[in-house]
Amino acid sequence: MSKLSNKILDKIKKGKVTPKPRWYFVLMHTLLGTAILTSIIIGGIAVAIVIRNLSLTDWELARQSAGGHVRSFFMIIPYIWIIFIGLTIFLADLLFRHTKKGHRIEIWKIIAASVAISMVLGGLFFITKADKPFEDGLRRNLRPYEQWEKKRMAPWRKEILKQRPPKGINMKINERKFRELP
Amino acid sequence: MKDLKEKSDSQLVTLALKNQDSFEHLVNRYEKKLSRYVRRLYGLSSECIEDVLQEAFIKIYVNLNDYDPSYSFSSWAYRITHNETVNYLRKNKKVTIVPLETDDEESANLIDILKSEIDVAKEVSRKDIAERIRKAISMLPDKYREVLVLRYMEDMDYKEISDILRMPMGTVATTINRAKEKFKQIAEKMHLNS
Repeated sequence: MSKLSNKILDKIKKGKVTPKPRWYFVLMHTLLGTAILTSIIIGGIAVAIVIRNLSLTDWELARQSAGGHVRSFFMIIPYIWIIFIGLTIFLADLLFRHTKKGHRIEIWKIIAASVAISMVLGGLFFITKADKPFEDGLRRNLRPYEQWEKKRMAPWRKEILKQRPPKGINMKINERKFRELP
Repeated sequence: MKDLKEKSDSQLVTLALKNQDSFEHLVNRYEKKLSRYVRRLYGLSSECIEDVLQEAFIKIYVNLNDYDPSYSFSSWAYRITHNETVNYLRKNKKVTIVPLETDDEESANLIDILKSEIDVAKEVSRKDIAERIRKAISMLPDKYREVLVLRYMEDMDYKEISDILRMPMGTVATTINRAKEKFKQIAEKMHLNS
C-alpha cells in the first residue's frame, strides 16, 4: 500500500465517505434528458406560434400600414418568440453537451439538429393547433404578454379602422349584399 | 496480488464498490500515471500534487457508480484529475509553479516529435534542446499545453483526449495543430531554430 493510498483510504474511512448510489446517477441523467426534451418541445411550441402569427397576417394590409414589404415583415415578426426560440435551442445544446457522449459531437451538428427538430415539431404543433392553448393561456394569465401583443397589433388596428365602411352603412346588410353578388 | 494485476479496471471498480479497502488497488494502479500527468501539465510541487490526487481519488470513489464500462476508466480518471487540478489552481492562486519536469525518455519523445515543427540548430546539445523545449511548452496557453501533454507525453489517442477534455475529436485535431503552430512561434522567439 502506498503512502498516498493509505492517506486516501484513511480520509474515506474517517469521513465516512461512501459512493453515491446508482439510482442518484440514473435520476440525474433522467432529469438531464427530460430538461433537453422540454427545451426542444417548448422551442417547437414557439416555432408554431411564430408560424401562426405569420400565417394569419394580412400581408397587403401590413404593407400598407408599414409602407413596404420589408418594413411590413419586420413589423409583423414576433421578436419575443424568435428570441425565445434562440434561447431554447441554446439551452438544449448546452444540456446535451453535458450528457455522457454529447461532447463527442461537433457543436454545429448539435445546433443544426436542434433547429431542425424545433422546425419539424413546430410544424406539427401548428397543424394540430397544439400551440393555441399555450398562447391563449399566456394572454389570459400574463398581463405583460397581453400588453405586448396589443402594442404590436396597434398599427394594424389603425389600418383596419381606416378601411371601415362609411357611417350609417349596416355591415350586416352589406354582407348579405356581398354574398348575393355573382 | 498477481490475480489483482490481471483484473481489468471495470473488475477493480466492482470490487471497490463491494469492499472499500479494495479501492486501494485502483489508487495503486493510477497513482503514478496521474501524478506524472499533473506534474507535466502544470508543474506543481510534490505536496500540491498529493493534495490534488487525494481530492481526485476521493471524487473518483464517490462517483464510482457513475462509471460507465463502455468508457475507458483511464479517460474517466484523467478527466476527474484534470478538473480537480484546475479547481485547485483556482482556489490556490498563489501556488508556486515549478519548471516543467520531464525525464530523459520524455525529452527524447519531445525532441523527436516537436523538432519536426522547427529546424533545430545542430550544434545545440540535446540536453539544452530538451530544457528549452520544456520551457517553450510551459509558455503555451493552458488549452494548447493540455492537448500536447496528453498526445505526446501521455500517449493518448484522439478519442481518449476527446473524452478527457470533453471536446469533439475534430476540435482535438484542430487544437493540436494550433498548439504546434503556437509552439513554433515560441520556439522561434527563443531561438530554438537555426
